[in-house]
Amino acid sequence: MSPLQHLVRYGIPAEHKYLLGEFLDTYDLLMLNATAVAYMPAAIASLITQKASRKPYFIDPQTHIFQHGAGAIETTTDKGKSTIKRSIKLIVEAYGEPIKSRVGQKRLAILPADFRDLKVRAGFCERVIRFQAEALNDALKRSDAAKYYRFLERKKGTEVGSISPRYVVAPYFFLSHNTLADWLEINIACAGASIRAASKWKIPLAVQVVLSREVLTNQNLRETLKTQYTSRTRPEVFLVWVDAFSEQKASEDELVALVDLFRGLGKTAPVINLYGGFFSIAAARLGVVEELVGVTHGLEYGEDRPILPVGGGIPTAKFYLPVLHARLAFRDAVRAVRRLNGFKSAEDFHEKVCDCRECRRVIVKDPETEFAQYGETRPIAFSRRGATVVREFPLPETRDRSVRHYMWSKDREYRAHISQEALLRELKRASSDLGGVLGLDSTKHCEIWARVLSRSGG
Amino acid sequence: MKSSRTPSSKAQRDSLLKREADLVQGAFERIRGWSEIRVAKEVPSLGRCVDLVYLERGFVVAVEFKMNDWRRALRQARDHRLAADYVYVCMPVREIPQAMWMALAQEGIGLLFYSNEGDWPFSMALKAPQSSETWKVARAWLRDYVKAQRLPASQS
Repeated sequence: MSPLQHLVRYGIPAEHKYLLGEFLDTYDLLMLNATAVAYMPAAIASLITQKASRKPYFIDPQTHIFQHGAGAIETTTDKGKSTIKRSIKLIVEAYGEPIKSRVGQKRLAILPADFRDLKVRAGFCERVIRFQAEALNDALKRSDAAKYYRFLERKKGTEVGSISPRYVVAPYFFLSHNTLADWLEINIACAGASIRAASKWKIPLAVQVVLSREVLTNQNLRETLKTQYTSRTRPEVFLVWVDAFSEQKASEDELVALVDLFRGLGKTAPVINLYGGFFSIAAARLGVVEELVGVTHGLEYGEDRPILPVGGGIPTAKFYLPVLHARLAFRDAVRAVRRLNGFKSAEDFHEKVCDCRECRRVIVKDPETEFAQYGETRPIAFSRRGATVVREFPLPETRDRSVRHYMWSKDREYRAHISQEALLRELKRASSDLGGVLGLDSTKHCEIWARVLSRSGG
Repeated sequence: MKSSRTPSSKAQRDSLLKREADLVQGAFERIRGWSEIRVAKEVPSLGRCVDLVYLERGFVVAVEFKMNDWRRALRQARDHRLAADYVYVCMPVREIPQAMWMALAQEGIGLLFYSNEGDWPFSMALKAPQSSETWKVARAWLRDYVKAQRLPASQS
């Protein structure tokens, strides 16, 4: 069995440092948002070609963002005017019709009827695929390094100044309980039209399946979805994204449904989970879901994601606790580390809590004091309902340590030796050890994961 | 069916929050009059915000104010035990249900009634035991934050 692919989703430029240097070899494939590529193509092209040693990547075309109405893609200017976000305007231009007139000019949501015309659909799919295939290359050609690449190309006789994504992704739209009947046909048709476009650029096609939790857990809808995608599309890989699906909060039935979805789609092509946690990693690595070949996460809050942004919210200090495979509010992390006897000595901390590179650097002599470095904040006052409110924001160095610890912890989850028997034992023990201090809401997932993994068979 | 104690509209919730904020402000102003006690309101602590913290005879005391939702107050106060020596919920004088007495005792949280009379804003309804959960680092953060606040107007 080939090893599970470790995918990381690129978010913002500040995250570059966690994707390069010592972290470069910890992951296999980089996932980029079309909006980020459109907004800063030169920076991303340089990241991939120069700093990231040509790390394989692909671009999520994010076509679903046009189906939710103007509110989802607009921002308010300083003068109080609503306008489409600049990064989205750029992909509207690149994708052309029917998005351009419907969304860009009329500020309306795109509808299934807009894609019924075969020619319109084919043209749209080709432009979406072309954007993924060429946007970064175009940026490279325009970059300062272009002359250097041409020099190298003449010298080496090969094309060093061009990059291609590992996959191109067919346009896709979100499938909810109420809209599946409307959008499924369009998604299937776009997958068909995109095969032709992808072959033009000689890049394998990925088909992205984005669904609500209701569709996942409704057996009839799930069967419809599996049957339609497996019988009517032929991608190189399926990319699955279940809306706001936290494996830590999911019920047993939801996880069983997820396994069933992966297995079902996997009959036609391997599956990558676009937002997944340790449950997916374990299911793939233990052979419970052999069809699952990759799991993606972001750098913060990145193991699940809602279809629509829910706003930034207030960032809070969190610590990824390896035994629970979950991020905890820092106060809960303190309680957990204390319960695990991690404050007794640095050796105890490294044995019972974490011995990743970052924890070895931070926890040296006095874990009870040093652990604070993962939770240091600064208070910021702001006004709410006319009153001054003070909230804590993690210091930049707190966030840096937490992300580094998270990245090393994830690296271990994808690579360290894993045996079903030991893992199930560890999951059950974590749940029983920490349930009393953190509450079952924070620990029960371990028990549920163990049950689903053993019930679903290895 | 919603409990009669649960605020059903945004206006009601805002009104409750306003009354809570008034209690916090009232307690803050009166404790500031005590020269040997340092006090701060809206104090950040481990991702929560403590309504009022005061330092008295070397101890760190955290107070969470609530008009009526005592279960919510308890949930918040429980987290303050990581950073304070003593933790209290403060409410206007009222009948306390048996379940609340039991929960307070079980969680190691004391109860104060807000008092409009006298120099001290609280009357003790249930003395809190010293927290067995205090994490020295968070306690130091809380103490330092209170110490760093401006001295009472009369002294500054």
